[in-house]
Amino acid sequence: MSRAICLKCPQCRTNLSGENNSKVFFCHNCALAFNVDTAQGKLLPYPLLYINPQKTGALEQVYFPFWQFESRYTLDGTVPTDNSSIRTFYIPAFFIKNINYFGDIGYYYMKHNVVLEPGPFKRLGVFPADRDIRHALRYPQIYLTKEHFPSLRDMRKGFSEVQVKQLKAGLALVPFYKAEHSYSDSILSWKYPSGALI
Amino acid sequence: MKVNVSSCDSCGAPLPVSESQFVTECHYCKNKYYIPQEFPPAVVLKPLASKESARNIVLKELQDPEISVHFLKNSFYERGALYYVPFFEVRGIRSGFTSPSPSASPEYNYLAYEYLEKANDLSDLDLEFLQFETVETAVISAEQVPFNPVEMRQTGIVLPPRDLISLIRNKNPYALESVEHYHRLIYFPVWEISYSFRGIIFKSYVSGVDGKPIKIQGLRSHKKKLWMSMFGLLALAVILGRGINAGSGGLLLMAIIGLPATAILLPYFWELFAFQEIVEIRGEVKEYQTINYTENALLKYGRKMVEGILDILGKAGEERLS
Repeated sequence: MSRAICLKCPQCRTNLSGENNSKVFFCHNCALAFNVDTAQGKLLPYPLLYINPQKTGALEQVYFPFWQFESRYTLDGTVPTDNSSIRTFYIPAFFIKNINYFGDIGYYYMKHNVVLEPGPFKRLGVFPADRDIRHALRYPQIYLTKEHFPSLRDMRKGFSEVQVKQLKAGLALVPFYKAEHSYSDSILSWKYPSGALI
Repeated sequence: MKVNVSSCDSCGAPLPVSESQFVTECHYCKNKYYIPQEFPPAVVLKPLASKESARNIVLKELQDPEISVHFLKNSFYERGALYYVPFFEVRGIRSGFTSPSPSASPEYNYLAYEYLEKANDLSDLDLEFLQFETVETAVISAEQVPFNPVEMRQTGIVLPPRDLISLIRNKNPYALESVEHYHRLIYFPVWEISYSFRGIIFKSYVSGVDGKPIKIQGLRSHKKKLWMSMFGLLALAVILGRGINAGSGGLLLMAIIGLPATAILLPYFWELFAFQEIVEIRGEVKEYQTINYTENALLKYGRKMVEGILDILGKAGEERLS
């Protein structure tokens, strides 16, 4: 058994919040998210943003965690430089069951050029974040490939590969509205059955 | 459930954690810890149906025409127990170019794969048949509650997960091309409602998530067999009546006296001495299993008799020795 990692905020020394299956824990006093790095046996801090809802919905709200990456990218296989395009990606830090059927909300945020506006912290429950940054980092490349090269024919038209360089990483907590058996997000009003989000 | 013990960094107190418990709190200084484990992290599906509602569902299902009315009237409610049944959930994402049909150009997509593996063979519970579809459907509609092994053990019986991790890893066909690949342990709540009837326990199971019946067990109704037997007896009476030349009056008398007597006595005859059948209802599927009361009763009385004789012999021997 590996060594225990103390779940305390290094700045304010309060206990971090999270569930048994979480890979990311939160300190709401200091607005920080901590990714558990089991290989190094320590917590890696990232800034935490609380997002304002853009659409109205049910009374009860729950925060859903999204990894927020600001990245430079190229579509021709060259290494991104300071002149390359910049884009912000929101990758769900939770897992969507049967993603091909229910759809990936992170991809649609990118496709609709959603800009999440930060707001004040509200005392809401936080859905466990069980997708760590190591896995989430691969998604900007996947999203861009899906957007720009939907088929292999497009891929062969002179382009070779999408290259992504991460500039900033953080965690955004997006409020979702909770109904009896479903959650709907407060940005695009997308609906998911409650068991589809894990 | 195996329990590992680590120690608190600040006060040195023991930190007992069960196999799939990653987050724990020190009892004394209330510090929280993340302890990486060999088993995947566990989540629990919120048990919705209470014991009483589970029992009502079973009683409703027992109204099936295949179940004996005699069983419904004379069986005794034994107990209702909540079991937490473990399943390994394997999930991940693959990405790449796939073509929807051989003629179409391959399209870029990322596909999710998820499947369940039994983490316990469930043979002790008679739940080997528990379909993955039942659990998968329940998982979609269910809410998750935090994994709290102590509370779970207070409310129900937690079945331990067996070490199947290596098997799952070998079985996963997509592990190499995955973008991500996870395991999770899901505890699926199941209500067991048991009834006893003449010394035999009948167990029915109801999903603790949505209250759907999984398996309903009861004594099979023998109405059809009873009517067939009566018809057979009547036929026999006719043949015998002709054989002994009793005439039509004799036959009528036989029918008047014999048939009601048979109708009254035969059900008891069936219940007491004949072979009995347990009917198991699983949705549309009904299965029958034959049991033999007579054999059980004979063994029981035979054992009692032998014990009695041994007692008498033993006492006699003791008296002689003293």
